[in-house]
Amino acid sequence: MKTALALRHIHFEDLGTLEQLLRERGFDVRYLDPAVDDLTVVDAGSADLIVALGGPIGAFDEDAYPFLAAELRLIEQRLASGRPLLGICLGAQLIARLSGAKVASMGYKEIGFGELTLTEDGQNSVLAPLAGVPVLHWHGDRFDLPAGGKLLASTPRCAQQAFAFGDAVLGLQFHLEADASQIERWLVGHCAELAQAGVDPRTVREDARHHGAALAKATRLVMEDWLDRLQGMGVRPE
Amino acid sequence: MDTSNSNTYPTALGVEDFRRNLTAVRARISAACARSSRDPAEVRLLPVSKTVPEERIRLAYAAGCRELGENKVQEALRKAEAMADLTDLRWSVIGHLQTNKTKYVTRFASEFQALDSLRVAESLDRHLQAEGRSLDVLVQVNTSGEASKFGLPPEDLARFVRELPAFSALRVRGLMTLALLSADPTRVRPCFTLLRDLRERLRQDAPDGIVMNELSMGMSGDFELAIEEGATVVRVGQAIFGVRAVPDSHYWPDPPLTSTPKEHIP
Repeated sequence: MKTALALRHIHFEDLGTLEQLLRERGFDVRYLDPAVDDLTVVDAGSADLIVALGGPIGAFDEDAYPFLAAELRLIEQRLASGRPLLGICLGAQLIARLSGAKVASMGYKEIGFGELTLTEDGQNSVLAPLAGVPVLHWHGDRFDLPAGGKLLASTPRCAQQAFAFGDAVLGLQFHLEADASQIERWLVGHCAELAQAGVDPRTVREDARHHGAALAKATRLVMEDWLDRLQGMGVRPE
Repeated sequence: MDTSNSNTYPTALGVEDFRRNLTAVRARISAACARSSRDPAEVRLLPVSKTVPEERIRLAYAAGCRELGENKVQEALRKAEAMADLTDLRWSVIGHLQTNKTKYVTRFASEFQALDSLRVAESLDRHLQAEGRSLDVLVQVNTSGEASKFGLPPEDLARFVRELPAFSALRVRGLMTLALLSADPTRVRPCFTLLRDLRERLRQDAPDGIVMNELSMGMSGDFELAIEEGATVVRVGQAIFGVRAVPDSHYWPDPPLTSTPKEHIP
C-alpha cells in the first residue's frame, strides 16, 4: 500500500480535505509531529508522498525551535530523492529556504479567503482548477521564487503563492486543504494572530461557509490531477 | 466486504491476463447478481482506463473490451484519437467536466456520466446540435454528502431533471454516483440505496422523453455491493488493468503487505 506522510506542526493545520482524497487513492495516511516526534529516524525516501504542512513558526526559527533542524534535514533529503513532496505554507517556505530562496516577513498578514491569479505556467499546471476559487490565506512571511522553480500563482498581497519543481515538488503558500467545516479550530487556535492583524473571525467564518464547498471540489481536481501525473513517475497507481 | 488493494491485482501484461481479469470480474458480477436475484445481463461492465497507456488499452481491446471509461476529457480525447483505428471502441467520460471542455467530449464520446450543471448541459447540447449528433448522459448525484464530491445534492435532483428536456441532443439515461469511501458496508450501502430510491422517485414524475433506467454505481472496491442495490453500470479499473507494469520492487524495495482499508479505485 502507498504511504502518505504528513508533517503536522499544530494540530488543526492538518491535511484537511486532502486526507480523504489520499485515502480514496489508496494511501495509508500517517502524521508525524516534528515538534515531538523523532524525525532523524524517518527514511526520507520511503513514503510515496510527503506533505509538509503549515504552522505559525518561521522558516528560519531553528534557534528558538531546535526541532526545525531535523525537519529541514528530512525535507532536504526528500528533495534530493526527487520523490513527491508537497509543501503548504510553512512547508513551502521550508522547501523554498532549502532551495536557496529568501523567506522573510511581508510586514503584514494575509489572512482570509481570496482568489489566486494563476500565471501562464499555473494555468497549465495541476493548479488550473483553482482559477476563480477563493482559497484560504494565513501567513505573514513570504518566499522568493526558488531558482529552478516555476511560479504558478500570485495574489495582490503576495506575488509568490505557489511554485513547482518539475512534477514532483509543489510549494503552496496558501491553504487549499482547509476544511471549511473545521474552520472554527483555526479561528480559536489563531485568535491572538487574528486580533493582532485586525481580522474579524466572523468574516473568515462567513467566507468559509460561503466558499468551502467550491474549494473542496477544486482541491479534489488538483489532487487527482497531481496524483495521476505522479503515477507516471513512480508513485504506485491506486 | 472486500479488501481490494494494489497487492491484489497484478499488472495485466498480455491479452491472456486481460481475458482472465475480465472473466474474474464477470464472475464476481454474476455472483452478486445471483445473491440479489438479478440477471447478469442487466449489469454493464465499464472498464476504466484512466492513466493506462495506449499499448495496454490495445491489449484490453484484443481481449474483448469494446468500451472504456475515462475520468479526464483531454486524456480520453488523446487516446480516442490515437486509437481511432479501433472503430467499434466506445468511450465514456465519467469524471467532472468544466464548461470550457465540453467541446472535446462531443468530438469522441458516446456517453457522459457526470452531468451536474445546467451550464454544462447547455454547452454540450449546443456543440452536439452543431455536429448533428446526440449523447447519452447520466446525472451525477452526491450521495455521500461530502463537500469535495461532485454531483447534485439529492434535494436538487428533481428540479434539475425537469430542465433537461430543453437540451434535446442529450439522451438522459439515468444516474451516477461515487459512494463514500469506507471499509464498513453499512456506511457505503446507503449511498447506493439512496441513488436507487432517487431513480424510483424520478421515474414517477420524469418529464417526457427522459427514461431513467441506468444506475452507474460501484467501482473495483464496492461494485458487488452496488449490484446488490441495483447497479446497472459498474466502473471497474484496477481489477481489470491491474497496477502498472514496472515491478513494485523497482521503486519500493520493501513494500509493506499489510491489510488495507478499502480504496476508492475505479
